[in-house]
Parts: sequence; structure tokens; C-alpha cells
Amino acid sequence: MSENAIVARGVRKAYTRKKEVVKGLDLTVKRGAVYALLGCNGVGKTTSIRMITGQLAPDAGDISVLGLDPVKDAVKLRRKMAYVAEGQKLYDWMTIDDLIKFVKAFYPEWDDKVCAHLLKMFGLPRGVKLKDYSRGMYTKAALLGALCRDPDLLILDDPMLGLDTAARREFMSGVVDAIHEFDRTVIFSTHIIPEIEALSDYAGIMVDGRLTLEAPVDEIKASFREIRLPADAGDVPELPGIVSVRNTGEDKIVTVKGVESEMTAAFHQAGFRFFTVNAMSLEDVFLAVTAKKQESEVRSQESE
Amino acid sequence: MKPYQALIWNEWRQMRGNVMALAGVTVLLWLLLLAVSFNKSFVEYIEMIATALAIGLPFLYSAMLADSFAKECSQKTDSFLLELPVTPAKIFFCKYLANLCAFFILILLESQIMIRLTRLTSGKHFTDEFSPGDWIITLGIIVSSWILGHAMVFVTSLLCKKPGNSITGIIIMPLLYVLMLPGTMAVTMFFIQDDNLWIISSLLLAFIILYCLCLVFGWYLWTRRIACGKRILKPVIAVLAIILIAPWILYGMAYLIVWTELKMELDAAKKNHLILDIQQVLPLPVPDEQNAVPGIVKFANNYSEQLESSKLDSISGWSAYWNETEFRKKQDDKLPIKATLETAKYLLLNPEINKCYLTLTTALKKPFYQNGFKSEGDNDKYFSNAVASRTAAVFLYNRAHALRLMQREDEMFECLKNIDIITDKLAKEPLENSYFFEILLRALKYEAAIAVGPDTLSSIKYYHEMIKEIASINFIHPDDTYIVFAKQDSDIDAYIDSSSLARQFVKACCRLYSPRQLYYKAVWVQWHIQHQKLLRLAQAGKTFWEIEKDFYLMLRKGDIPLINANTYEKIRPYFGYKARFNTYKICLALKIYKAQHGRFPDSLQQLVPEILPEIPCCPWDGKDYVYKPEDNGFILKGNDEADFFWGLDNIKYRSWDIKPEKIK
Repeated sequence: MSENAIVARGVRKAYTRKKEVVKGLDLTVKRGAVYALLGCNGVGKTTSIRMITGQLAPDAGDISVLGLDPVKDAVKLRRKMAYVAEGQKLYDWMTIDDLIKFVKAFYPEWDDKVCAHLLKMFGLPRGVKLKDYSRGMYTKAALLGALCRDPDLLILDDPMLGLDTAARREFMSGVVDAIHEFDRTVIFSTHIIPEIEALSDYAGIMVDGRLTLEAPVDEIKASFREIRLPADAGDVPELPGIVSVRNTGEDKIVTVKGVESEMTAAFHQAGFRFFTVNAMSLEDVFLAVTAKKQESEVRSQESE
Repeated sequence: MKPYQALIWNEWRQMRGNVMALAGVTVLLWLLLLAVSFNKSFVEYIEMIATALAIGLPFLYSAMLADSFAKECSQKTDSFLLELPVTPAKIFFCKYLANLCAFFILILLESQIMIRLTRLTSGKHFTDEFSPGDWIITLGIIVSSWILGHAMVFVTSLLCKKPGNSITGIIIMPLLYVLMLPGTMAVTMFFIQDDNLWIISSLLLAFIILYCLCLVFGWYLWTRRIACGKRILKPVIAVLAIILIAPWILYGMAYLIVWTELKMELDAAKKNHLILDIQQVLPLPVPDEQNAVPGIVKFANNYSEQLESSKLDSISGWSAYWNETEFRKKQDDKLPIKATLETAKYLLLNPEINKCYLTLTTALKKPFYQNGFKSEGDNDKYFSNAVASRTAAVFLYNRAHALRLMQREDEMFECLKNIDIITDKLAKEPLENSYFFEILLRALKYEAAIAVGPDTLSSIKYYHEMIKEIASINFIHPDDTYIVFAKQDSDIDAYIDSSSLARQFVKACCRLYSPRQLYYKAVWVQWHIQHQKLLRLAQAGKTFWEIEKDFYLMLRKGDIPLINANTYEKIRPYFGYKARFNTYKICLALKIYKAQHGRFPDSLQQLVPEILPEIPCCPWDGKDYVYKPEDNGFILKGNDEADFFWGLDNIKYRSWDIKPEKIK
């Protein structure tokens, strides 16, 4: 059995001739890992996930999910995989028992004990139609349907989108418990990063249809540093490892990637005397990486 | 629960409310109509409304139930369904079958209720319009329309985001059906000869294709996951293009094929020296009101009743009244009809009947018809005319018989000659069956002469004339030398010229009839070429059984198109007439011999060469006729059962079997 749950190489997808959404995605998700697929709106996260789940066929490139082709072996793959999408809709007329009865019919591996346990853990009321559930409970119901079938791979495509803080927390508590209790590969696609930072083993950041950064979360956090310079410190020279430069008015914030001591030495050499070096959260790194892209877009527009 | 059970259960739970509501509405409607009908008021209207509801309600059921995918799309559960580990095709067909079952349960309920109601007054407003056969066809069309309507809504629900919009499927269904028809008609016309069957099978094929297209298209949209989105435009346009273009391509191809085929057949006809008149229908002249025909028609109409009166009942068989039934009945009787002096006197002395005779002889001196032109209904007039002519001929035949009994022999032969005048005039008439009438009247004359004609020396010259006349008859039907295509047009017109709704629909479909006409023309030319070839063989002296044998050999080799497989049957009339008139010839010769020698000969060879140059053989098998003199008469017959008069389809009436005592 391969150690990778998902391998995607050179995957491309366009909805129209002019608009290519995914422009060469290379993605690797190890088995048993929790992977955070991050990106701004419209960068191709959902399209990538829809290709991984076999809902869309890629225009180019190869995808292997749990050793299967998502398009050709769609039915086999869906038995091993669970997918909870953004704003997942279930049949509103169903109660949670109806939902369980319906979904269970399709999965021979359905585990009633797990189901009973999750029902208790999620606190989902029985005998109430799904349409009368709160948003958080509704999404939890979808998650229950996904988890009880004991999937090897769980894909959560921005399931928290549109949930208010209370509902999000309610849902996340369920997810955290579920992930901790059952050891399985999970992909989170979201841009609400702080919620999943602690959970994730790996992160991939998508920018403009490509994965610009993919590494273990700890490694990412260790390799990125934020250097704060005074606002009047002058222009930052083109040093290797600089990811982005932002001017907040009071400070000039430079995000750098590399070994901290080497970067500090380089800044000293460049004539900067007063600066502070700070560690970065995953969200900061995400902002810096996506800001670089936005910056380069602005520059290219100015040069034009 | 298995996956398909879960899918069906899910579908049922979603439409359960609608099914209950529709069943409730149906029962309420039924109760309402029933309550009004119990008051015995508006019963006929209730029946009509119930009939309309019985047909129309299933379309409402389709609209309410079958928009399953539009519901999935509007409540955004389609992606949830597609994420289940079953093939999209399985989901599609489970949903469809569950939906169809619910639909049929409702139909069963409403048909039980409504059909009971339509029987309030024997369902006369709807059911009585159709014969039992038509009723089955109509029911088939209604049920197939329901199924197709349901499928159309089911598929259009994949194209609509809102459930109510799927009703478009029912609205566009008739249009698609009409678009599909030219293709199916063009294809089936090569395989089905019968017009009735052809139209039904074309309708059925159009239904099957449209139904399959619906399901395949729905399955495609669903499995390709392009339902309810902008991307459906391409496949929708593709399917519409197929529905629009394919039938017309088929239609065009069929037209081209039959047109080429017709050209080839026309060339072949020319090579076979077949005279063709395919461009125009023969003009049908109408009788002139001022000329003699009305006299004959009047005779037929006015005197038939009188001649049928009780006074004449005693002289059964002497009635001059003629109609098809009566005439056929007479064929079972052996000629001549028993006559008495009393009846003979009545016929010759009754002033009314003599007046008839004078009217008739005056009429026969005038032309029958003038100013030929074609119009609908003329054929009926001509048929009446032909019937009147035959009535007149039978009248003359009976008068001749009476004259014979009164021993006025010369007058008798004069009377028979008048049959010739009618025969000659009838022969010129361009009526479809005129040749048949002509042969019939000629036969009547010879039979009269043989049956009641005297075998005295003075009558010999008349018999010689008759023998010569028979020898000059060409037993080829005029229709064999040219082709009248009008028949095919009139056949279809007759079929569709009806007030029933179903046939009005068929009439609309038959506007696209041209390839069928061309096809018929090609087949007819082909048929006539083959027929001509066989007739030439017959004229060259081959017997019927030889021709039949050769024909089957050619058929096995593939030299004859299968469409003409029964062609050899069509030369039966030639052999039938030939056989019958051969025996007339021999009988007349025997009468001459009797007149000359006072007795019938011992064998037919004694007639050669003084009276007949040779004794004709039976054309069916080429064998000699069986002749046996008996007392004061003779028996003459063919060797087998084939020697019957084909034209009357009456095998009991052998061509000749004269009992001795009947020859005076």
C-alpha cells in the first residue's frame, strides 16, 4: 500500500477556454495525515477537491486517490472516502434516523456503534427533521453520515463556511473529537486557518490555481519569520528568502523564508540596525504568501 | 436495505405527499361527477367530462410527479446523491422506475373511477366512435402518450432548476412527435405494405425512438453531471438537432431511393414495351342526363320493386332485378332457370315490361356517355350505370328465354344481340371493373344461347357468329396494359377521410406521403412488368401450372423481387376466362352439330374440322376436356377443380356441366 493517500501531478482544469481554474496542481497527501488545503476564494480549491473526489474529470494531469483513479473507479473510491462539502445539503424532510437509514444502505462498512457514539457526542436530536436543525447541527449531521461509514479518507471542503462563530465552534469540536478518535487521512479545505492550525499535520497553500507551498505545518512555521523594520528604514533590498514586504504605516513588515540566523546576518549586512524578528502563525504565513502574489500582480499592472 | 431499495424509498418518500394529494383530487372529482349523475342531470356532459379527465388527468400526474430532478436541483441535494457509491445510471433508473410505478398506480386508480363513469350511457361519446380494432389502437396511442409525457417531464426536469418548469416537456411532446414522424414513415414504408398497419407502425416507431431518446438523453445529462447548469445547452441543442434533422434526412433519403427506383423501373418498363400512363389519372366521363342512360337507370331503380312483387315470386329466377347479393345467389343454381309458358307470357305481354323493353332498345341506340372529366363521386355514378347495364342484360336474357319458349327464335337472337350493344358500350367505359362487366355480359349471352337457344338449322349461323366472336376475344384485362395510380391515392384518402380525432391526426401526418406514393408507383411498375411477362407466357400457350412452377423456380433463384411473389396469382383471370369461354365455344359447336345431325357427337373430335378448326384444351393443365353424350344432352367439364370461373369466386359453379335434359 502506498504511503500517500492522494497524489496529484500536473492537474489542470478549465471551465471555459479562457478561464483555467487549476493550472498545474502538484499535491501529495500522506496516509493518516491531516492536510490543510489553504487558499483565497476562487484560487481553485473546490475545483481541485471536486477532481480528487471524482466529481470532475481533469483536463490534464494524473490523480490517484487511495491508489484509485477518481473518475474511472468512482464508485469504489466513494466507498472508501467521505466528503462533506461547503453548504452540504441533505434531504430536509429526513430526520437523523432517516438519514442514517438511507446512507447506511450504501455502505456495507457502516458501523452502528460508531454511529451511536457520534450521535451522543454530537448531541443531535432525534425525531426532528433536518430542516429544523441549526446550521451547526445540520453540518454535524452531514459529518456523522461521513464518519460512520469508516472512510479511509475524509474530505472537508470548507464545511464551516457561512457558519456563525457558535456554530463553527460546535462543528469544530465535533471534528476535533472525531479526528482524534479515529485515525484517518483528512483534508481540510478552508480559509479559516486559526481553527484548523492546531489540527493539521500538513498544509498546502494554493495561489492562482497552483500549490505554491506544501510542507508539514511545523516546518512551515519554523521556516518563516517576520522581520519588523521602522517605517523610515528605507527600501528593502532584493535579498534571497524575502517572501513579501508590507508597510503598515508604523512598521515595515518583511516576511522571510530561511534560517533565522542567516536572514538576521543578511539584514545587518544590508545596513539595518534596528529590527525585531518574530515567529509566524500559519495564518500569517498564508497572508504573506498570498500577499506576495497580490503584490506581484500590482507591480505587473503598474509596469504595464 | 439495499442501495436500490434505499433510492426507491427515498424517491417514494419525496413524492408521497403529491401522490396522496393527486389521488385525493381524483376521488373528489369522481365523487362530484357521480353526485351530479345521480341527479340524472347533465349525464351526457358528465360522461364527456369524465372521458376528458380520464385522458387528461395522467398528464397532470406526470407534471406533478415526474419533475424529480428539478426538485433535487432546487433543494441542492443532487450533489449529495451523486456522492453515494452507486453509479449515476442506477440512481437515474431507480428514480425513474419508482416514479413510473407511482404514476401507474395513480392511472389505475383514476381509470377505474373514470371509466366506470364513462359507461353511464355506454360511453357513446367516446368509445362508440371506434370499432373494436380502432379502440385498441386508440388506447395504445393514449397509453403511449401518457408514458411519453411522463418521460418527457422526467427528462426536462433535468434541464429546469424549478420543479414547475418541467411541464414544458408535455407541451413540446406533440411537436417532437410530429417532427419524428417523417423519418419513421420513410423507414417503415419499405417494410409494411398495408396502409393501416404502416401508419400505426410509424406512430409506434416514432414513440419508441422518442421514448428511448428521452431516457438516454436524461441518463446522459445525469451521468455526465451537467444537469441544471449552463453546460446543458450543448447537449440540448445536439438532441434537438438530431430530432429535427435526422427524420428529414431519412425522409429525403427514402424519397431519393424510391425516386431512383421508380426511374429504373420506368426504364425497365419501356424496355418491356409496357405502355405507361403514370402522369395522369384517367378521365372519368359522366353520364349525360339527356341521353339514354337515365332510362336504364330508371329501369333498374323503378322496376326492380315491381318485378320483385308477389306476382313475380312464383317465377323465381325470372326477376330482372339485379344486385350483387341476388346475382351471387343465382350462381348456385344451375342454368337454365326453369321457365314456364305462364311466366314467358307475362314477360312478353305485360305492357309495363314491354314499355321497359322499348325504352331500353331506344336507349341502346344512343351514345352512353359524353364529355369526360374527373371529379369525386363519378365512379359511384358509373358503378350504378354498370349495374343498370347488367340489369338490362339480365332483362334481355330473360326476355330471350321467354321468346324461345314462345318459339319466336329470330326475335330471341335479336334480343341477345342487344346484349352485345350493352357489352360493347360498357367495354368502352373507363370504369375500373368495366372489363369484368363486359366479360360477364358476354358470358351471359352465350349461356343464354346455349341454355335456351334452339338447335335448329336456322340458328346455326348465330352459333357460328358466336364461335367467331369468342375466338376474337382477347382475355387480357385492359388494366394490364396501363397503370392507374389513382387507386393508391384514393385508398389512403378513403382511410383518412373520417371524422374521428385519431384519424384526423393521421390525416395530418399523411401530408408527408409523397415517398409512399413514389414507392407504390415503383412497385406497381415492377409488378406490371412481371405480370406482362407472365401473360406473354400464357398467350404463348403455357398452362397455368407450368407458369406457376417456372415462377417459383425463378423466385428461388432470386430473379423476381419478393414484392411480386404473388404475381402469378394475378394471371388467374386470364386462365379463368379462357377456360370458361373455351367451353362456350365447344357447347355452341355441339349445338351446331346437333342441328346438323339431330344428335350430339360421340366424341369432340367429330366437330373437327367442319365446325371447329381444333378442339381447345383446358388452359389450366393443357389437358382435353371431358365430354360425354347422355341421352338427349351431354356433360362437358375440365379435368380438375381449377376449371372454375375465377371472376365470380364461386368454385361450385363449374364452367360447364349441362344436364342432358336441359338441352332442348
